[in-house]
Amino acid sequence: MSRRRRSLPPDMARFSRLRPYVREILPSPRGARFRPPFQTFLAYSEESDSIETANGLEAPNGDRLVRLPSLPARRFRLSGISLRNFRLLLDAITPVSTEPTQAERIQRRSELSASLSDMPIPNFDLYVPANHPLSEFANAILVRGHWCALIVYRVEPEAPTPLVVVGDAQLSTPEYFSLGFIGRLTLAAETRLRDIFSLAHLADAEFGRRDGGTTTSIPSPVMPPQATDGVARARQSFEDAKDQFAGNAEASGFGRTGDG
Amino acid sequence: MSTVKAKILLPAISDVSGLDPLHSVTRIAGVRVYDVGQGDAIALLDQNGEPFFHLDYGGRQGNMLKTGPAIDLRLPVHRDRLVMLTHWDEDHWCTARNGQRARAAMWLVPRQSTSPRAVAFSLTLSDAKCIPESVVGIAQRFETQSADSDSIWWEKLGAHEPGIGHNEDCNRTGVAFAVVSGRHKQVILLSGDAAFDRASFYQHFRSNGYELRGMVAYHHGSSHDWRLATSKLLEGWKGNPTVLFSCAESNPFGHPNKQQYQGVAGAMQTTFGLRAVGLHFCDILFGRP
Repeated sequence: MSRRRRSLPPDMARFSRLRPYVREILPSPRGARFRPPFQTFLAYSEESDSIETANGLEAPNGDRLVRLPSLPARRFRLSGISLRNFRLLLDAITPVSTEPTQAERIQRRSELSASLSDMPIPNFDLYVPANHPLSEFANAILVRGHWCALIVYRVEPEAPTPLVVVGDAQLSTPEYFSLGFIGRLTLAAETRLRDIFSLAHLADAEFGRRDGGTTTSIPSPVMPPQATDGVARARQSFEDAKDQFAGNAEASGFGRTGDG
Repeated sequence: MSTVKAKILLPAISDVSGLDPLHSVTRIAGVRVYDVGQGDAIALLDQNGEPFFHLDYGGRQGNMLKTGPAIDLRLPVHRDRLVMLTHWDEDHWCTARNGQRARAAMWLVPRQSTSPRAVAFSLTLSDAKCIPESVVGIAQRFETQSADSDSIWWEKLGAHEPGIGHNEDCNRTGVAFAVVSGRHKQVILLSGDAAFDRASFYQHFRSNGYELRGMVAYHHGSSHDWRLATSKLLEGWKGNPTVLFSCAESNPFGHPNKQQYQGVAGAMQTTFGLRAVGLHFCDILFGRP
């Protein structure tokens, strides 16, 4: 095992550095090939939409898409930071309690301001064609509000893998990649990211009330509770997808890399 | 109706951390919806027709407002006014990133699961406060001090659960608004990306005979989360409401779906339709049919 790690090419070695933060590594679908250089990100799932038509389809920075995905597709919009910057944030941002004191909020704001002022936080638009074998897995893992590991590599014109378009208003032109991997984060890594990218630096407002106001009641419909078992469903789907792609992992060699 | 329960109505809010959002406002004339492409940017208008209160400051795809000076000119915000955010999706705040004036105002925002981009943006605001989670599910209001007072009602619809075991849909844990004219006994619904029936306090206005003057179609006219309860809330509500769709003309999401508003709307308007006639906003004013 150790001999294999030492023999890893630089890009593979970079990927192996993600290992401590990733709970599961799944490969891109059958047929994907390893084309360095890789870029490794930790990304937050902002939204997903069904895309039926290329009409009005834009890159995250508002440019027209030069390269179109296969449609119909599911578009997952993510945003995130590089693995390298995550490592920097781990050292730079002090964890806070769930109910921070004012001093903690001030410190958090100061630390975030110092760390994020020049840190790129691009969007990633991941297009997964509707009939693609990765589709179910992507739906399961890219649950809105969750973080994931995302590895992309330079797109090849005929690449059959899902397209990832990276962009931001600060980028002059969007960049086009193929999806290399998506994987779930360890509990520790996701917890840390949720803490760092929270609103813990903002205090609650204080509300003054009108004098002489009366407290009365108004009728309202009883709303059904919001479903909270989404994670359980997602995890089950994840397990299903993992089984489905186990063969691909072995075939592509990505599983072996993860072991290193 | 067996599914109705009582809900607390607290005294009106006089100030938010020292700022009275309705200072010098004697009457709310209506609502202004800006053309910002795909997204929302809305202002409430005072007795002089001037914006005095802002809900969201977004607009992404197809937004013509790119530069700071254009944004500050077209979407004016005074420093001593309040900007409230319905939720943290980027198409509801991103225009403020390039402008100066909105970021100098006080922002009152929901505590939610947030993207890293949203957190980075929040650091650029001069003064931002979160809505206390203690008022989740309890309708709040600002109101003018004049006779037949006008008011802005709002409610944070759901709690923020920071733990990993929760899937927070920020559309449903954000803030929904209703703007109310006491004189005309009319209401305008502004629920951000939440289906109208998710704001249970809207039922109060229907039950108490308020006329539905208008609404900004939730989630830019999406069909997502439109359900039977949504139709039941709107259908048969007294009034001849204007339905405004705030979205880009060319978008891949299928917005807006006007079909679902056919039986409800007295008139329909899209923000992108304003461009063709050289306008960059549309007003829904109280007291008009």
